[in-house]
Amino acid sequence: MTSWWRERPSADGLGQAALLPLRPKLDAAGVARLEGLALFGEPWEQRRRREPDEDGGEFPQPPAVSPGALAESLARRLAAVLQPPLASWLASSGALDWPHPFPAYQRDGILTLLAREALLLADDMGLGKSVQALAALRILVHQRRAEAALLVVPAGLIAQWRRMARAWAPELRLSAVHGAPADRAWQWRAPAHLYLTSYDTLRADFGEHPSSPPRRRTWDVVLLDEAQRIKNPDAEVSRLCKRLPRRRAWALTGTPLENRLDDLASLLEFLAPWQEGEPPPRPVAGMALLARHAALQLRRKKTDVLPQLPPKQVVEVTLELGPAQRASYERAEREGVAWLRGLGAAAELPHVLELVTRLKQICNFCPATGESAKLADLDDRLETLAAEGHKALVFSQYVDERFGVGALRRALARFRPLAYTGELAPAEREEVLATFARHDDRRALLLSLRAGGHGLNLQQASYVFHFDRWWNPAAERQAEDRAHRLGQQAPVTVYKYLCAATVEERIDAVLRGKQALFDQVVDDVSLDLAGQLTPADLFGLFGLEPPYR
Amino acid sequence: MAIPFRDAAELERLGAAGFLRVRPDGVEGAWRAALFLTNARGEPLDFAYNRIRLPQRFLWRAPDAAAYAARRLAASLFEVCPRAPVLLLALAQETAPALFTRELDLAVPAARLAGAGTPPAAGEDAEDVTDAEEGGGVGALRLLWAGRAPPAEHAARLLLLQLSQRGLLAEPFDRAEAGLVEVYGLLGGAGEGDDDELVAGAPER
Repeated sequence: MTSWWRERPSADGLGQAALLPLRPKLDAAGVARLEGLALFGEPWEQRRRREPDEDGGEFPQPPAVSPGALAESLARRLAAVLQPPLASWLASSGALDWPHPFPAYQRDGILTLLAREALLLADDMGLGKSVQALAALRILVHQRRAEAALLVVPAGLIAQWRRMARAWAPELRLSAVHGAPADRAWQWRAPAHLYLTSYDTLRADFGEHPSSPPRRRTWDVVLLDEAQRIKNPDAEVSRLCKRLPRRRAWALTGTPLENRLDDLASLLEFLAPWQEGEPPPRPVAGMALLARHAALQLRRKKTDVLPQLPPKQVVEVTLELGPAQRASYERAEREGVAWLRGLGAAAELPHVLELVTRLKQICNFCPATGESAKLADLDDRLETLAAEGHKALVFSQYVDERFGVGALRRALARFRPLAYTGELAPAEREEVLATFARHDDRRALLLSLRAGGHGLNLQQASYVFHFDRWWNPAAERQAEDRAHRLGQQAPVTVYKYLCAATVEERIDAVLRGKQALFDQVVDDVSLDLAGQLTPADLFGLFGLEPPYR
Repeated sequence: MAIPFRDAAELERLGAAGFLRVRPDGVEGAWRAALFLTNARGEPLDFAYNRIRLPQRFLWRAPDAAAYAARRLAASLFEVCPRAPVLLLALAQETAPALFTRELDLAVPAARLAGAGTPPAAGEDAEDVTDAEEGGGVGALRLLWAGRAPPAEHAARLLLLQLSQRGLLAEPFDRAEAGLVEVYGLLGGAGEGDDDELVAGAPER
């Protein structure tokens, strides 16, 4: 390739002719091609063809002494050595684009994850453990220090992790392993940087044969989210997680474990690299346990990093419906759409809104079984928050015993939640508020939106949950401001629930496309989707056209 | 199949920056060189490397020897590099002005990177630039363009802006040095070849 350069004749005339007899020795120039995420110099297509077959076996290794192998080895080393420096990866205008700049404590967390073979990241809830883990994974892949990572998370959080990976590591290919066994077979084999699965799926697919999908490669990183799931050493999922071949072991948990030595011991067995054929990790006990825990844990409390936190941060949590809840939802949607079609020209907006309301209620709780993906997540988070010493507000637009505050109160009984609704007499309301303020053991306050969404001072709580959405920005802000207000000592973390592949997600998507509507100030706290979505939008939620009159 | 980057089209459009290093090889009369190509985000694309040894070193005047070595090495690297850079940079402390102004005829903007305030040589056009420190850059620098500096609408300008904003004007030279150490070791010296002939660079993948 000489189109962009050429050598000029030597200016002094003496140079070239005089020098040739001196026979300079110029080596053969070498070049290594390094671009893209063709990891370690091999394009994905080639690697996929080298996947072991059903009979198992190792990934074939290149021959040890051929010139091609030497060149490949050099290319690998160069690909690692020539990566941008770490500071450049993390800088807001560095080698990678990030959705938001990292506060200092998150940078520290990412750097610690990158530096360690094993880490228990135990930050308080809301400090971005998942973000730190995804950022570290992204950098490891770009640095050629990792090819494939296995992320094991609670089933209900698969959608949430997918969403976060799209935001924080968009170029990394992710294979979500879940669903029917036939689907999972190819999901395990799909070329990807991140394999995302649940504890239940891992248990189902972890076979005794070394070629079973979770075992047939040595994972560069195995990450366990909500790692307290393996606290019981005798539980099958606990034993299986510890037998995953891995070079790095990361565990995320918001549950403080200092006072639960038995739980710690099981977790610490996982926190070490391990390969097939090696002896199982030895249990650690006594003072050695505490010492190892101290060495492996990175924990920051909200109060530790207060100056770095925004006064209020909002987290959208996308959840997958469980089987029974999904079945109920889909049946109700199917029947509702058929009903709307049957109405024909008589179909009006109130009919659509009625269906939307019905489906939103099912997204809260399955009417047949009471199953609730939102409740499962809320329960986990409240357990963590209670252990950390925090208080939470939970808002719902419904008060009834099947879908709203009444159902939540019953389901969360172990937390002894207080309930504040319009059904209470004024004196009763005051008593509820005073109890929530004075008693440290009352960690959760459940509120109906109409009764509790405005005017109350609830600064004792630093976590707010919107159990269901009404997509009215002003109303949601008013509810959040019960906690986020003058006198609040801690940053407020707001969680907004959304069920994947439901009308909730579709409404959210439509409204995001109408960004201006989010900025409107609306006085009325009632559900006013009709004011924010056009008839075409509303009917379009169900694939229908609005009838023309 | 390639795994797509976000804004892959934008990266593609900006092209590659070439960072040329020419270093003594630890043995008198020997040099090693690298042409390190990165994209606008500093991610590595290609790395070409070579070295030269001038026997009877005492017969050469030092500046002539260095200039000859730089020219031959640069030519051999350009020959094997699979893509053309949009922008070519070298370090002023390593390369004489003549490499870009007299020895080589380049169709892409080329500049030597120097400390702030470094006076340009004859045939060079000086331009002050800032290597953003947040991404690890070194702050104020000066570009000594061979001939005229490229105009505002030139593709090299966009690329230069991206690199400077990310603190990636000077840093890639450090990586190029690390790459040379990886290939040749620490000041390992030029290798002895069986062939006394001047060997044209052969691509090695």
